[in-house]
Amino acid sequence: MTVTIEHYLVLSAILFIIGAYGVIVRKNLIIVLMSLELMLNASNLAFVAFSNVLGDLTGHIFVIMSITVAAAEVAVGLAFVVTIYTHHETLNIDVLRMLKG
Amino acid sequence: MDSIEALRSTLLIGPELALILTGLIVMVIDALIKGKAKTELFWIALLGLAVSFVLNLERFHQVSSAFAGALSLDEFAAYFNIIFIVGAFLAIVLSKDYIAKMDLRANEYYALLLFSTSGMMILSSAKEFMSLFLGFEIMSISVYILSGFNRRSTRSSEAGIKYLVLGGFASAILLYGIALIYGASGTIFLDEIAKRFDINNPLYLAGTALILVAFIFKIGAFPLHQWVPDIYEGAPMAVTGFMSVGVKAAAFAILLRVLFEGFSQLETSWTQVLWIVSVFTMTIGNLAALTQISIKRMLAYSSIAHAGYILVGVVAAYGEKKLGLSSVLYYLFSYTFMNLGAFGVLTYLSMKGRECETLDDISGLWVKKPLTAVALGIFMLSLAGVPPTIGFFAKYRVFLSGVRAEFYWLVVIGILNSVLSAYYYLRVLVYAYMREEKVEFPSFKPISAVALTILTIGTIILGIFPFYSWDLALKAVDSFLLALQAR
Amino acid sequence: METIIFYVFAATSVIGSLVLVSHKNPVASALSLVLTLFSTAVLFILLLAHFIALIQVLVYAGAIMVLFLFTVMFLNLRDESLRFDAVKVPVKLGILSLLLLISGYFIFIGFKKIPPLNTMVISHPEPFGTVEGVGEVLFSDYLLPFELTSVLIVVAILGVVVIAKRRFD
Repeated sequence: MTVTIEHYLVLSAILFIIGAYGVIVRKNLIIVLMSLELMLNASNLAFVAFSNVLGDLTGHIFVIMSITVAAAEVAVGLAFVVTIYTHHETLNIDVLRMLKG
Repeated sequence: MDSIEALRSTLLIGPELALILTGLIVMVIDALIKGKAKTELFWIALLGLAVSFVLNLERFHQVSSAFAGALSLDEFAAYFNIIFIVGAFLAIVLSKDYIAKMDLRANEYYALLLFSTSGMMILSSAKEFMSLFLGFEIMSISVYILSGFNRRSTRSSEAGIKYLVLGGFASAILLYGIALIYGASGTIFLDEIAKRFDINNPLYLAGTALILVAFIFKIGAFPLHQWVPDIYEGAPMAVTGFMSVGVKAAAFAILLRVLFEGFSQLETSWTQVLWIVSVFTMTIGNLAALTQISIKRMLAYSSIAHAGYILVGVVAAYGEKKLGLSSVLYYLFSYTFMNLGAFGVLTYLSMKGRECETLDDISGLWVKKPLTAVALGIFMLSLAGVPPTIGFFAKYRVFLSGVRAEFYWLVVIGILNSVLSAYYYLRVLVYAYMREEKVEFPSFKPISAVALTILTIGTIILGIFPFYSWDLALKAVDSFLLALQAR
Repeated sequence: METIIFYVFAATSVIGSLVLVSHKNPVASALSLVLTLFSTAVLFILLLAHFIALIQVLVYAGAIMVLFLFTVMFLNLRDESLRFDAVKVPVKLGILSLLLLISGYFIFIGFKKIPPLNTMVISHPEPFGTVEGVGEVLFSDYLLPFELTSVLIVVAILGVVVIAKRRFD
């Protein structure tokens, strides 16, 4: 049984879903940010898999860009985490609900 | 792409470069000059935007494409760029006194606003998913930071992180959608994708759906609109104004370009989806706005409702391409004036430690500050769509295109919603004109007053005499449609 | 051989990501994210993306993870401050199954319908995926996105300074 691209796509879809699940369910801000990374990583896997099949390097470039974006997003996100923690002494995403109504 | 082509392209993206360079200059000058009051930065930022505006006008005479087709510097993009630059310009003028009052850092504020605008401009002309994604992220990340800009305010930081998490979720969905489209078509260029589009391939359907979801999030439309009120409420008032006009216009620009240039084969399907989205967006936005006590939150829900009205134009483009699309462009242009104006008045009335937010904060405005009250009145009437303000003409054109394209029910729902919305806009005026004064108002500030005057005059005059704004919208859409037919 | 490598590392990455989203302690989650990213890097090599695999390990598993761990250590989280994340199993299972249902179509039916994607390419001509090949495309065809990333990074630096700096002036 050989490994086909389909396997990689299924794997990337599974990783993407686990990441989305983490973003929706978890309440710890740091873990939510990590789950976002997981989603971006899943997209990267899909890009590289498609790149292999197409024999085209565009997917590889896109992965480099998406890693940069992920780094920027994480840096800003963690800076926010630090300020939130100094304000509230907790990373519970539920404290953000106080914005509501 | 050889070096000559690279050089030629670099010269062509003058407007974008002007903004990025101005942002860098603002940062450098701040580091070099010692001292507290740095009014130079304000003027440099405005100068950069003015240069960018002038360079951008050149694009109405000469359409070109740069970086091997990655950017299409057409009139369509140029029209949106005008919206972004005017929005950013007025937002900066309005923010100057606000920054001083709230004791925020001016240089980073101006630089981020300029970078964010440059991201929007890249976004509006991107014809390829990689530049699109990066423009999207430059715009979004700058705006996340701006929403959390006031570190002393807990609510501001919370709005920032909340926006970042939800926006990051949308970006991840967008990226996965792009990956699927890339895998199916083997290219990331929109026109090539359109040529190779195959409805029977499930990857295309999934990719289109995921990308559409990400854009609907950015527009702030149903069912992904819940973030809008929270983030608009938490962000600093001056930022909220910029965000509500700039990000929304950029999201619509890219929505139109991707849907019409890339996924035109699925036009029937996504028109149906957007029909439903439009109805729910305006109805839910208006119903929620009715019960708000906070004006800031009310304006957030009203911005959701306006996204619904604009979507009527997008849906109408199914039957009436030219009229529908140009009404969308014109609506976004006029929305820049009236909504920035409404937030501008609130920014103007905010004081240190207390933003002007609730209805009580503006009661008695007419007695103490009659001119500001008149301006607020004009913006509210314009948002409600009362003639002869610009808001009426924008709504009229959107609904007219809906009627021409025979989406009668959608237009009927839109008009009913418009009527409903008059209630909460007029309630603001009742408080401003008929109630007793409850709080102190800040003293007169010339620079903010100038910005508010420009916005007020624009809101009245541009409606009756649209000058070039409507003609340019038609022209921009013409070139957009010509490019679509040419391939 | 390749089949075995694929299954081993695919399983590792899925296990790592499951630990990430279910573990209470952020440090454990960060380490399991490293595991996932590292196994993905191995899969990248199987897919002939050598340069990307390198970047993945250096930047993602290296730099970004250090950032996460640094923040966790910096905040000095105590056990009691993590209690709020108690597990509500039915809710989580509900959301997970919903997500699986939505995507199940594509995983089990959709991907099978894609005509040209049935086999994986074992070898490409030499510059594919190497530093040379990727660099050439990056600095010619995708020059603009490359330049845009610099703006993005300036924005991020600016943002971090604005948000996290403790005392100004």
